[in-house]
Amino acid sequence: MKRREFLKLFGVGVAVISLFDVLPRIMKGRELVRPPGGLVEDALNAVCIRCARCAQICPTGAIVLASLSDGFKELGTPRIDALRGPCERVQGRCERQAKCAEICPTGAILQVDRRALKMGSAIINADRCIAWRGGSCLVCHEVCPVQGAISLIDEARPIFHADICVGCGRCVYACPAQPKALSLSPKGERRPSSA
Amino acid sequence: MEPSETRKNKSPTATVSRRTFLKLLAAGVSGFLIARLFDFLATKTIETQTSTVTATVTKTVTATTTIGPTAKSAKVVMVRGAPNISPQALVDKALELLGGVEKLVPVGATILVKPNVGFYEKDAVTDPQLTAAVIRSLKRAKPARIVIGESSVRGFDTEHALRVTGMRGVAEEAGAEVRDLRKDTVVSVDLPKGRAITSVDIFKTVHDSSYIVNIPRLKRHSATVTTICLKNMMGTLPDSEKGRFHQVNLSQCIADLNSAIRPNLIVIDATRAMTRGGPTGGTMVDLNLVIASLDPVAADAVAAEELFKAEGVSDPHGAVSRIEHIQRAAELGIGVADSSKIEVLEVTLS
Repeated sequence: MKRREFLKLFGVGVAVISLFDVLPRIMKGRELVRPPGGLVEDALNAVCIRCARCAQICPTGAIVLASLSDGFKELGTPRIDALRGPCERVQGRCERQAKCAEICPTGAILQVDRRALKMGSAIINADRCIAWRGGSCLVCHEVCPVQGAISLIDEARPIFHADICVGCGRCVYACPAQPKALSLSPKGERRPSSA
Repeated sequence: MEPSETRKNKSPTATVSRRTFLKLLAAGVSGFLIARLFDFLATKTIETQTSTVTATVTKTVTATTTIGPTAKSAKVVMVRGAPNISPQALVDKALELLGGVEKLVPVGATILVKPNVGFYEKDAVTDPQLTAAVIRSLKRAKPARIVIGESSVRGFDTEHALRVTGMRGVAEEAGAEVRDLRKDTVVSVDLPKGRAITSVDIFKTVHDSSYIVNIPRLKRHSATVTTICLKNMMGTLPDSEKGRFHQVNLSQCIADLNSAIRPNLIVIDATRAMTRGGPTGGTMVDLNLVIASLDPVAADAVAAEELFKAEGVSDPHGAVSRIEHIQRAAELGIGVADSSKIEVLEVTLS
């Protein structure tokens, strides 16, 4: 094979791989944790005008805008990134009213009852957890605002109850393990279908 | 030249012309790059947003500040009150039994008062009224300044915690300056006695204070059994250090920290103590008790025993000897954990 032919083949290969890597990801989108009261996925993507006001007003900085790798339809819409901060709708500065819902001009994020909140759930990777590895931690249990969402085995190791957890992400943000033993997933989320 | 010959000279893949190939390549690569660029920009903007909020700068590296003599014996006072007895009366009596603030605190001291305002939950933090009572008492010693400093637990905004618990308003009214330490700069301090860590970053306000008054609330803690005054010192650290403590060895790190930044006066808020389920959302017990000492280890040991008694633990004394951070602190000579060497002075106000 000639140098030129090899390079051509190689180039085509790279192009094809890039397309196959990126395109499906963009088109399918990732499963995102949405701000409290965020409409169901299709409605949110349709109603949201990508104005970013929710991200600007979020007191903890937990709301970020979805990037292209989160999906083409999702690009620019708000998502919760618990690594930047917890959602304080359940406890904290948004207890009375969700500031994101208050400022949203189109109703893509609605004001929902705090007690009915379910944005998702925290998931533990026990292999990374300091307490599960025999250390002294339990920061997740310490900071959790929802009674019963995290219980302890032998008063030493945390167990997460996805059905009780509301997915505020405070434990994910506070987890001192490196890399984090906790992540936030939209699993079990309950979202309003429309205004 | 015949078309068939042309084909012969080329490889089977050569149906793509140079121009098409380059277009394809460019499209693929640019698609890939654009996707990455979006990701990069998204992270970049958020990073700049957050960095302005939490920026702390390490300024100076200082030599050690080992404080206090290695204690051989210790004195702890416990002042109980009937339900109608105010926090001020309890605090005044406790400080009087320790010798009086005028004798304890040097004139012109720069005082740091460190309550526990780690959370938004009122039961989980030091009572603001009791904190105010301590501030009012301290003023009699004519200090240069009294600063209330706190850096709440990671995930809790200190400013909001100070406001929502009522601490800011009450403490300012009592005459203290209230500081969210997360907005402070940090200073690195050597820990020559440290066993798990050899240095720690602490907030400058804490480092620059000449007299530290630790006012914790008496609570149970899921990770360290109890959180009283030794553990409360973690609120003088930036979040990164709190995280490191958990990664390394929490109990030993707490002891190591107190070996260099040792509180001078401890006034424990046991007016309402948190038993099982602490440090948040636990069961509350009304004790209307204030425990005070100049020895943080003895104060923790005596207070922990009271907490276990209130909880109905069968062997409260034995339970104290199993609290690792208290024992590690005693081993470093920060204070006395051995109850036979602690003089406990107990009074009841009615």
